[in-house]
Amino acid sequence: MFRRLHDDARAIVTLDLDGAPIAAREGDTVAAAMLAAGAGHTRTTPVGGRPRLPYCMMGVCFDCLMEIDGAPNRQACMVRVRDGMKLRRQPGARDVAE
Amino acid sequence: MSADCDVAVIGAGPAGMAAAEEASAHGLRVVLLDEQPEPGGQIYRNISTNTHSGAPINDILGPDYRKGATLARRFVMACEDGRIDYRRDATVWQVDRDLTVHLSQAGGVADIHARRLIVATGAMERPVPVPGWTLPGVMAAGAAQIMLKAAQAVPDGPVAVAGAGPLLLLIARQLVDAGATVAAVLETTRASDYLAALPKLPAALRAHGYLRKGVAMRRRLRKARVPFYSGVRRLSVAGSDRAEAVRFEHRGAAREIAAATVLLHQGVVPNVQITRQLGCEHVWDEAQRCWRPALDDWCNTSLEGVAVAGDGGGIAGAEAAALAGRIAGLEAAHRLGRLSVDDRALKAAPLRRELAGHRAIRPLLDALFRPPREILDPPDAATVVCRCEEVTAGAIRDAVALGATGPNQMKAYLRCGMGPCQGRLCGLTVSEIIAAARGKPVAETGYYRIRPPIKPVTLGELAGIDA
Amino acid sequence: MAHQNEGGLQLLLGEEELAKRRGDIAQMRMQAGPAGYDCEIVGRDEAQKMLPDVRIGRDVVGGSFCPHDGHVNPLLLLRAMHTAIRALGGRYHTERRVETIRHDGHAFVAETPHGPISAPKIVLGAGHGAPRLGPMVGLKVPIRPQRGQVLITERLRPLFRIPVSTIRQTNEGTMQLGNSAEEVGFDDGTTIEVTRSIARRAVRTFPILRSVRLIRTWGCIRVLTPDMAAIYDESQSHPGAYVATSHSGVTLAAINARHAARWIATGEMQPGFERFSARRFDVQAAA
Repeated sequence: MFRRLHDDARAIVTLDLDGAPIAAREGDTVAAAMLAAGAGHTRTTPVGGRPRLPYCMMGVCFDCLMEIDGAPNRQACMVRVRDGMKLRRQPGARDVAE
Repeated sequence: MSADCDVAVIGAGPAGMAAAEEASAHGLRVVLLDEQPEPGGQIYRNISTNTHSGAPINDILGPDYRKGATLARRFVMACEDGRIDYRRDATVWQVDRDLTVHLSQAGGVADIHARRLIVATGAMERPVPVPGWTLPGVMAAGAAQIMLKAAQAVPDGPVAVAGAGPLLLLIARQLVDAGATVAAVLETTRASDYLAALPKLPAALRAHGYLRKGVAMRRRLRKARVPFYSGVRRLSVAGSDRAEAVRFEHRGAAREIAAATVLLHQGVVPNVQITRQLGCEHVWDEAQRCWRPALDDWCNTSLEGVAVAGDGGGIAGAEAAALAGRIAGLEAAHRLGRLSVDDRALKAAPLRRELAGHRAIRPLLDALFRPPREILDPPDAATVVCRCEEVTAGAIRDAVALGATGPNQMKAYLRCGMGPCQGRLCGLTVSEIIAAARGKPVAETGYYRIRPPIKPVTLGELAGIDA
Repeated sequence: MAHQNEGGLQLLLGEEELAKRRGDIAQMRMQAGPAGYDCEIVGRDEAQKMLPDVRIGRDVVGGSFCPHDGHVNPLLLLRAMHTAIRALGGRYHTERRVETIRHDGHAFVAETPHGPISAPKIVLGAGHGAPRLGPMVGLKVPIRPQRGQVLITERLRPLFRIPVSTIRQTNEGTMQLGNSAEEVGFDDGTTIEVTRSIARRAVRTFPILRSVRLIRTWGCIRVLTPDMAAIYDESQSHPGAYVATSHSGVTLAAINARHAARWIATGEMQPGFERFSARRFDVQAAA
């Protein structure tokens, strides 16, 4: 989807996306990391089950909702990456299982 | 209730930074709340980090972006001097009419009661509901710019940039300079729009800097041999599970261009969530085809103690926003007894002169880049309008036929505007569709009633358990 | 319409609420007489068994279960009614505020800014507009506004097998929480104090809701009679003029569509329906 400019000198961090590692740069938002990793989609919609990727990247569209470190439906464009962060694509409506 | 501060400013874009700095310079206790980790807003996003690193990204983003560095530096200095209590990563989710601001920050919640409030939440991109705009790979053009500023990344594979407005060409130019493959620039602006805008040209010459930039951007794109199509119609994005191509009509012929990323843009509109939630009076701006809060000359809304500075009060651009921020800061100082009427006028005069210069270009831009009807009122029944609840233009027109008279009734019929984005991405379109279907003006059709929370908040946070 | 009618639970926090609920049920039984009032107090464990997919909170001491309770998606109900009105040949006129009603000797005439509409019978279903219109056709409508605030959450996977009073999940997955009762006239705003207390109660009842996100709050104005029950009445001075008013039109939709509509159309009245006349308030005033 997106590729980094050659001269991006920021440190690389590793995230866990649905059990597989993806690389990100320090300072990225989770949404930016998803786009740069070519991750396909961030969520499926609760109504039609359609895949979505971020549309606005500034916190208004809510298409980047993901489960981040166990918390579902978070705006991935508003959360900074952290090494070892656990990400899951948001599969439609969230679960509230205990 | 005792006040926690004199002035609460919401938003650290150019308007918010300038307002906070100006108010604090008059000895007022200022708290600034911003959702991002770094000041600058969207227009100057990552300005401190980028200019400090001296990375080549600064050259790609250009001198207008770098102008934000001075403003940000002054703001950060005022914060470091303890004159401004700057709270980053703070999400405001409710504002009460007694000027209590409710926010979440790092998993906790807080209430701040202010004597005055300056809302500087800026603009957001106008929704561009074309067939296929919900497909992965389709983004607001500004989103790609944020990827440049904050992630130093460009779309991989062919990019189509489609729509209208000054930002459209700027982003195309930045992507070309950053090495992206811009497969086409599709302008919805037509020759007739240029003719319609012609009468506004003499006034716009006062702001000739903007015109010169426009010409330079076009020249740069031509030089890079980026295919240009003007006056395109029936824009849509094709693809099954992701964007694969952009389709459109050009000079009567149907065309298709392969694109993995499609960037849509039809100008920006004020982000009115907070002023709507507060119940401030709003007016329909026919020229900019959007709602904005009704403001007096000193940025005051209809609600006592609440001001709006910057694009959140009507689109005029980043430099105008910073000037409006200063005026709002002066007004706060005056209302809280730190500045006489005469001193307020004296200090505001040069700001107003400069502001008038920036505003001179707007009538031309508004006339030239007026969104086409098919973007405002999507003709194709299957086009998704409400992205959250997946409500189509056809369903909205059917509900009008059943008797829905306005956007708030439409919620009850179709749930549109009731998803997590709270109508941000569908509100304007829903009002336009209803107005057109009923043959009434948008001003009369109205807008969603925005209720708290303006950003989702957990029940634990609201209950005060997760503090 | 997502109609479900397999009983419903009301969960009670603390002994005081339990005692009050027992008292309310006893009073309803007394009023119902031989007709009976089918609602039972259930213990905490029994309540938990009815909701096997979600743990109830420590503070829940028990609840009451009514086998006749159910729920419906109000938005879908509204659409269904509009669609049915149309299919049956009814016409829905929007933006036609009725200014006056009179009888011209043949029919009732409702004057609107876009011209009159006349019919041999007229039914006032105007909510808080009814007290203004009623006297024009000899009907008294003693109602007052009362505000209720409600919280709506993000969509969740289904959590409850049966509806829980004031913590209801609709078929599309959102949870509707709370009900306040405030005497604030026609102010339909929300307040942080009330929304906060609704959130607290929801989390005390089901601790798992703590991490659930709130998407929207709203305030709405109920149409309440002095005894909170509905009014169904025909004018004595103007036969053919009726009033139907209740909180709520969703809860009583089936009564309105079947019994009230048949009574108005044919004069055939369901036994006991006469008790809903507004004249019951005259009796109380005299007593």
